[in-house]
Amino acid sequence: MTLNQLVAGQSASVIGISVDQHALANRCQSLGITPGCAIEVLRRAPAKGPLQIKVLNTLYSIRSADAEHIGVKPL
Amino acid sequence: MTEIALIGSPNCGKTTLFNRLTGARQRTGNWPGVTVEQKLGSFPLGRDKINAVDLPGVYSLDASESALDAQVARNYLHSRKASLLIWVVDATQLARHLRLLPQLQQLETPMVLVVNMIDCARKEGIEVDLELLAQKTQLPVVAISAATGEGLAALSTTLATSLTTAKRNSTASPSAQHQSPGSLSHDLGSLSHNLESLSQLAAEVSQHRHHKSLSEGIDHWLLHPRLAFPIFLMVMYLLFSISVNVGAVFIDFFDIWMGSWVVEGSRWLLTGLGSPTWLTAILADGLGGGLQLISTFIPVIGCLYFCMSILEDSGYLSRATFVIDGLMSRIGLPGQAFIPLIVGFGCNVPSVMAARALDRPSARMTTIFIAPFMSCGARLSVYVFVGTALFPEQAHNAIFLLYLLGIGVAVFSAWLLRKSLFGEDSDGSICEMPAYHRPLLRNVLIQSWQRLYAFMFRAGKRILAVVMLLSVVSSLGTDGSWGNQNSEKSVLAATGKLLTPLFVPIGIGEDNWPATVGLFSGLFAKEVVVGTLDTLYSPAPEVGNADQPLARPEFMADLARALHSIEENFSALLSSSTQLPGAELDFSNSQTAAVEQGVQHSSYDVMNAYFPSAWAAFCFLVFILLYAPCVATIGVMQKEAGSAWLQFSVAWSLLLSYWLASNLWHLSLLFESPWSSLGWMFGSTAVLVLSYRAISHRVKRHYANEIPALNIL
Repeated sequence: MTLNQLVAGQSASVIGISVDQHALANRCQSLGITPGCAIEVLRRAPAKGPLQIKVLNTLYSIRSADAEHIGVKPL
Repeated sequence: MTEIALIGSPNCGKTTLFNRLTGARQRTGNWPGVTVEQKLGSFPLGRDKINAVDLPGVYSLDASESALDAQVARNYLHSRKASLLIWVVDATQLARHLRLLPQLQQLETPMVLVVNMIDCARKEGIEVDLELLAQKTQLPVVAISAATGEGLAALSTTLATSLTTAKRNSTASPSAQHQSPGSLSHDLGSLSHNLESLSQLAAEVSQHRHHKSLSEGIDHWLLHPRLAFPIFLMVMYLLFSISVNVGAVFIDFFDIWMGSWVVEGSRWLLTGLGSPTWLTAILADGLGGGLQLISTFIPVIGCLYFCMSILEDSGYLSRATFVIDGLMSRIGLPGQAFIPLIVGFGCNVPSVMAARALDRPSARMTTIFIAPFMSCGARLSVYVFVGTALFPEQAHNAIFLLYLLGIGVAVFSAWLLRKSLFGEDSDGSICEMPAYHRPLLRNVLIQSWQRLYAFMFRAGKRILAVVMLLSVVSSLGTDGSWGNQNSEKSVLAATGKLLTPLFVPIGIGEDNWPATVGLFSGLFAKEVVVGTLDTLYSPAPEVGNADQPLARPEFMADLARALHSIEENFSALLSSSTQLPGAELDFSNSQTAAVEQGVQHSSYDVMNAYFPSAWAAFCFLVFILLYAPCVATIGVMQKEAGSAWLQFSVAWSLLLSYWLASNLWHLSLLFESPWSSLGWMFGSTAVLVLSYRAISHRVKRHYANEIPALNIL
């Protein structure tokens, strides 16, 4: 399952990030979005916009296209 | 002199602390070679004066971090210019912010750990064990609230002792340096290299009470599925209407005051000193007029920056980009690009400058490229002037259509750039949405002043140069005489006559040279087109004689008049506050005012005679909308994106506007002379496509080696 498939309010734990997405992987690494960390989808923006997620008590916005590359396991 | 640097993750309150420490004693610039803002300042510490550097916020100092901000910070830190680092972390975000620890330790620069926003943490029920944190990190730790000033005295004491220790150690042998207590030590065991233990550390030192944070509660309403979009639109409307309307109240003040004291005053002074006419033209009309032009931009730009800083400091700006991102992504831009574009409806200058907030270079360049297509307030005055003269009944529809056309061209150009120049963006942009804060007046004022300063002094230089050049050609007569402004004799008018045949295909009429001159003077500032057209279509009888001694301008009376205009405009604003923003935009100038009061009626009639038809005038307006940005915008575009990109942008707008206007005109000729019209349409389209290919090929070659980060196809 990938991050963009979660519904609003659902929590999951990160399994991994697609290997070919170097920029995304680097970014996640420096933000602390690493395998095993808990992630919660708070809401989606209108017009197929990004997701608002919560990781380590911080809020982020991430585009669906990027969320597609983050594998998660629902909690 | 001792230099210290502030480092920390974005949104940790680093700049708030920097502003608090240095107050007004700061200056901004760019880091060498990049458009990342550099903030320097100084503050007294005991008897010493300390220089402070506010580094860009970074999530990581890893070499793989490609963002310009991170590179700038890493280069600075490795240059070892700072004798001491202030590492700022957010008390409510310890788990994440402490992740910088191992990378900072490798630098071996003495460091003080500042736990900021301790008051917010307390409110959220988070307790931070400072002693344990100090023990685990082996750093001096101070808890502060940069917003309220809590703990600042303790920070000063700690800074002073740490600096003394650092100085003593740096004079000692390098090997002794690492073993001294208080400064950084290598010997931190496994802790420093293990990220897991770091989050453990954060959990150990801070006690969370689990509940929803205040920001999540606010987001529930501001980002509510049904309310998010209406709220977003309302905030944008307020941002735009407040800054433009309130700013416009002060435009006349600067216009009248600078016009009297600088332009007329210097003319009077120079004439009194017996300076030759050409020198007076360059200094009074060129330099003085340029200063006057720049000053009339100050109120609107200043107000806009003020409102934007409030939005930014409060945390709503990142929500606004969240809401609009879905729509913006369709034209290959991030949500953040929406702000610069909407600002462009007021004025393109701050719009181009606001584009620097965009992380990705290709998004920044695209935004700068399309920002001038947003129809600014100054262009509105031209639409009103020409529209009233040639199609009074349809003027409002035509104006609305022109605004839509501008947006359409912007969207099309962005799409084109994305297809032909920039690769698909998959840069994994995950944007932090910082917690909501009450905006701090100090932060807002410092930030808006720095941006306004950048406009006045850095972009201002380029604006001045162009205004001086244009004032020379408009004053210089073909017979070598001077002082021919707004007459048929000037070099500018002669050039206009010479070039008019070029513009016949867009429908301006063969003898319509004043319209051509209007296009040139529109380069100054779009509202000047109105003044030029009005004067040229109805040449005023010669008044004043150059030989007569020039009367001294009534400096004090003019100042009083200028001050009075603020009062008048303000009461006008209050009484018309129900109007649409921009609907009564008065971008200064007696000429614009004249539009509202009805320009000399004769110029309407003459204009009617010059333009072949009302449709031709509309085509002319289409050209005015798109042909080239004004000098102020050109100045900031060159500064923000470089000359090559500026040339590309201007060449594209010229070509596209000419293609669009001429095809619209030939559309009306379709029944009259179908073959030549169709021929023109196909021919010009082919030329447009070929030219775009040629230009974009050159641009690709230019940027291929220079900026790999641009992700050129």
